[in-house]
Amino acid sequence: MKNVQMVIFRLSDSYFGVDIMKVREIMALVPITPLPTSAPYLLGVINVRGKVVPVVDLRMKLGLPCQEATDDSRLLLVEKDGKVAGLLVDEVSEVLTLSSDDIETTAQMEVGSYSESVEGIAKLDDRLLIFLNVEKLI
Amino acid sequence: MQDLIKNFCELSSFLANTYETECGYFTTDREKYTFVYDQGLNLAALTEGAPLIKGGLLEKCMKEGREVVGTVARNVYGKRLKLYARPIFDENGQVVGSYGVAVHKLHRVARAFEDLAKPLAEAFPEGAMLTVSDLEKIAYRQSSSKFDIPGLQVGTLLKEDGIAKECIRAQKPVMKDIDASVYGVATRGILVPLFDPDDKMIVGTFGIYLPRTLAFSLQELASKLNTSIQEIAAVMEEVAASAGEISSNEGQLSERVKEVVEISAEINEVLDFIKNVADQTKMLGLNAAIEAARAGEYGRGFGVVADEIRKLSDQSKETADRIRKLTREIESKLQVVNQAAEGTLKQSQEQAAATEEVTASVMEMSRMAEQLAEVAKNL
Repeated sequence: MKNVQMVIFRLSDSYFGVDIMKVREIMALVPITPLPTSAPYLLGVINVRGKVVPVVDLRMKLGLPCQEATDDSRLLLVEKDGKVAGLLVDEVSEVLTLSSDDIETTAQMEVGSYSESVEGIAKLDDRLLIFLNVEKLI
Repeated sequence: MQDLIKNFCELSSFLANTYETECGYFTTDREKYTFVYDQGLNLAALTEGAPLIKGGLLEKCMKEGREVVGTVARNVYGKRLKLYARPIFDENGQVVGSYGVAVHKLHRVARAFEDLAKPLAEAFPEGAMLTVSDLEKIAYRQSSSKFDIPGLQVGTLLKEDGIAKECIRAQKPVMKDIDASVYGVATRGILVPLFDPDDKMIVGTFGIYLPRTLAFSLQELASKLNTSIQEIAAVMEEVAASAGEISSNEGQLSERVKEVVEISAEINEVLDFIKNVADQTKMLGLNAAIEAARAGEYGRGFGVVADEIRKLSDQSKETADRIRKLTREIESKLQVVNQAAEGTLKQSQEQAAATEEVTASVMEMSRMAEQLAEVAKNL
């Protein structure tokens, strides 16, 4: 029974979570410098205190319908092997502590449409959180 | 001289007849009347044995020993008299008495009154009332079949504030419209003063009173109409003024509403700022939580702090949202007020326009009423 702290964010009408240990920082949206790139979900790069960080449109990456960025849109800076990337999300709502019992892993479920990055589904009150695996995202 | 006096007394009754008016033949000694032949005078002070007036004309005649002719005022004997007197001398040339004639001095008009008054009164189309007065009371009156003033009888005392006294004081002809409250019916009185032809003193008045029924009523009506119209005009002015006030109040109201809207906008700006701060605080809290998590054991306390910060920012945002809702409500309510005010403004403007129209009509009516009054006056 392990406790996991998750950063909860929203894309469209669905709530997602990622392991807090994988999260570096949460930022407000800043102007993105576009890069000529083959991946359409790569929006461009930004400058974070001298470091160049690529930005991913997570909605596009996960195949969700596109939406305009709002005042609540945030950049979730996540980390993998020392590399940092920014995930563009619609809203970062909270930090939750869940026990692993609350999370049903995909191994226990039917395979969904974005199975690669989905690690599990967590139940919270009347909400369902989709637990994403950062490693698979970037 | 004795014979003269004797003949004088004998002839007096015959000669008195020749006078058209009342008269009296008399002789006196130095103190009293010794003989009086009275034809119609009926004066108590002018009878045999009556004392002479101290300082009067007869005394003057006897003192100065010469013929004297003079007027005696009405208040001396009771009637206005013209006195003709000569002294009686004895054998020694001393004045022992007087003899003469006293004639009732009646104004020509008064004398003609009995003959002329009736046909004259009937000659007026609506009838008339004729009077002759002395300085205190009515002496003669003549009414007509169509018109009479019962309040004016022979002997009726002249009213101090009446038209006759006015004529006497002014010693000039006077014409006056008399209200119905005085004689019971509206009349026009025309009075002329009568003067003694010898000493030019005023002795009385001659008056014609005409009924003013039709013309008077018309005039009064026109005057009342005019007054009513003027009152209406005054009220209309007040209405117009108050409509103007409403209009200016509306203007002020509109100003106030604008001010409130501006304040509301400022509040919204502040709310935006608060929301901004709340967002940043929340991010701060989240980042703090992240750092706390990475710090492991040591970060647990900090994690609690981070939680509290996030709670705070959530509350701020919630409150800001509530405030924004309230200001929106205020704005929409102000819109309603503004619309209502505009509606009222329009109504009062219409009212003002209607008032102007009414005022114009009233002015027109007022002019007509004035013309009517003019015509009635000249009837």
